[in-house]
Amino acid sequence: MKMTRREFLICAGITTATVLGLGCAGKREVTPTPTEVGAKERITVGALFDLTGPTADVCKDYAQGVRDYIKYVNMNGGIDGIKIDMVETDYGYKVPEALSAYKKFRDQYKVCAIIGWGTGDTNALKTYVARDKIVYISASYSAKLTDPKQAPYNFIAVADYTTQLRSVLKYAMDNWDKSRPPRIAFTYPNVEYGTDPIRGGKEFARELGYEIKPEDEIVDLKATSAMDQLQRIKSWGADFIWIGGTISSASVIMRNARELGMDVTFMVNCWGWDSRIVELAGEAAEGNYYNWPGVMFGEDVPGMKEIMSVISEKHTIHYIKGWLNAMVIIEGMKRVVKKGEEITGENIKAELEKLRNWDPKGLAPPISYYPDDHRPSLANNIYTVEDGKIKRLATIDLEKIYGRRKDWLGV
Amino acid sequence: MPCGVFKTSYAEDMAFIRYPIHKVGLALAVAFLVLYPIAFKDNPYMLYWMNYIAIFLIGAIGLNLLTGYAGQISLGHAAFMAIGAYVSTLATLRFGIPFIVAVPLGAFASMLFGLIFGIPSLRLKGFYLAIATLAAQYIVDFILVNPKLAWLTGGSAGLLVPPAEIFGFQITQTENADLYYYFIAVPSAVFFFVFAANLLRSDIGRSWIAIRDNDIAAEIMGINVFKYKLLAFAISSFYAGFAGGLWAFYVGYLTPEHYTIALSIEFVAMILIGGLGRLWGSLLGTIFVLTLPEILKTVVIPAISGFIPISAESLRPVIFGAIIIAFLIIEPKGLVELLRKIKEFIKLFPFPY
Repeated sequence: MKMTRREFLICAGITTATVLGLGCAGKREVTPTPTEVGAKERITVGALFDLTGPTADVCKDYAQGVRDYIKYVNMNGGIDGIKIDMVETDYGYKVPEALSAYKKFRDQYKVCAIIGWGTGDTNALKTYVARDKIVYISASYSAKLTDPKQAPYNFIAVADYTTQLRSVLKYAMDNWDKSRPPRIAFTYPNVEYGTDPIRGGKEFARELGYEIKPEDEIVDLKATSAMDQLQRIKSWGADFIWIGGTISSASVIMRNARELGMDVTFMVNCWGWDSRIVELAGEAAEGNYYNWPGVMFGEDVPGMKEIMSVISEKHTIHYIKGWLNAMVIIEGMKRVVKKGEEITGENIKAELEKLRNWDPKGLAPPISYYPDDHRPSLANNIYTVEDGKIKRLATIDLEKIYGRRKDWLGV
Repeated sequence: MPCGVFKTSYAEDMAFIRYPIHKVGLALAVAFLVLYPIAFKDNPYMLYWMNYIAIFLIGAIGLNLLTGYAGQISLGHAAFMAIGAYVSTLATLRFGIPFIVAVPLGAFASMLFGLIFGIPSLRLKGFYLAIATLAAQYIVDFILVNPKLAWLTGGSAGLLVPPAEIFGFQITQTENADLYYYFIAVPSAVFFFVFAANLLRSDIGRSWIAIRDNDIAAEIMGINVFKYKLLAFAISSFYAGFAGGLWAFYVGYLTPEHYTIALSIEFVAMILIGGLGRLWGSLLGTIFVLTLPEILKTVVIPAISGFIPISAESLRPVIFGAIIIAFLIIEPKGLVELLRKIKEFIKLFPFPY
């Protein structure tokens, strides 16, 4: 039956009207009514995830961790009877989407805390959350977020990227057995998350006595080949290569290096790997230094038992990162409620800054925040892959060796 | 043309407000724009939307002038917006130039770039010009993320934009930033809209339409085709640069990640969906494209989420593309044409024409 254009337009109009009507009538999305801060039954927390953008490969698990922790808290009576609602938005790693979602969280849902994700948007929002007094915990462990002078309302749950880089540099130097200084090259994507730790890392590398490749190599987050960059590094002759990107590009770099026959040890940042690295990079994953201050999924710690009470499938370390972030925020809220105060961003910040060596159920090193220092800890775990299995090599706590060096704060 | 309307002077005949319906429409529009901030004084979210649409409307009008009226396909519009944004931010950041001067300055810088990248239009048309403007987009993109220029542009980390001040009164990054900015963004959008409308009924606009329809015939008629093509690029990038400057100060944070080819394509989508070559089409297209994710998130996803677990962000490119294709096939002249047909239908009912 041949439809005239008119009939088609009428059909289209009716379909659109139906969809809009269904949408308005049956809102299946959880839309909690905007709660008055301090209202006794429910409190809303905002969440920004990148489920379809360039870092989605690692964010999916993170998002699940956040959701499951909140489900866990609600299952176990909430915070003193107060249940937590989470409003999440997938912003696809685009800053304007993050901004519009932030305004919605702030004005419509009146949140007092947001669980964020990426370096770009966290840095964009840090002045806003400081002005609006909303606590923001991110999956970006950028060192800039640990300096309360620049980002007073931002928190992170584990040591920042630069400190992680410093600790693996120290570990590698301590285990360096040749007489000449080790040679290191840096590769990272040209986004803020990649460039963030490089300056501080290079300063410390010089301090320790490394020889640093003069030009850094840029490997895009979505790269499918890093041959050019690795050729240049090979001709310069590196012993170590720092990988600053997520797992997709990291596995590509490792495989390419193996194909080129390079004898290097990779230092991989905490988003550049997880349990999938063995299957993604195969043999090339052996013997490298993998950074992650927390524990592997499935390790025998009290926090892991809590996780297994909610889910039964295996997840990755990114899941733990999400769980941890939610745990820190909820801990702040718990303390505010225990003191009998209203749950506001200001009060949560004040309580978090009183944490001293608080143990997040063994999932990460103990956390201490100070009013002038939002670094949770300076400890990092170095893992490696041996015969296809992930093994912990060492725990490096730079605080024990150097103390909380002031010149490292915010760099 | 309604009956009972007659004009006694050329000025009246060429005016924008010719028929009674125009007068009514104008009164309603002005009332809406004036009452909007009063009604939503305490609702920064709605104000933010108005500002967002107003600022991108300026950019969309610019692209419509270039592609819809002058017929020069451009895939580099986001690059000109980026230049306007960065230059105005750097002017304020490094030289302390006040906001009111910095934004036009950024627009002028963008205009210069537009002139340079418009030069290929002398020899290239259609698809090839699109590729040349694509080059402009990527060149600017690379300049902005290049770590060697990070001392100037902030590289991939971007720049923190200083607060905008007008004669000492701070309007951005304060409590009522959205409200104050409304009185900057919306009047600018209105001004640029009227300016473009005026431009189009002048000799410049007519030359552009002649060039779009058949540039060889236009050349033969005596129109200096190259000059008008360059003028189109210049004015279009001025608009884009102005929009970029306004947007930079509003958001408060500049990253090159925003001004990518994806934004250029969004602009093209805005004018295609709205109506190529129709000024009101820019407005309709902008509103449609910018509110599409929100509509998806608040209405469509709940409607279908019972059946399919999908997030709005992943559905957006699919629906976007589907809508562009649908428009190109069914109503290539855009939303504006669709509305015109509906108006005709209502006017002539029950007759078909």
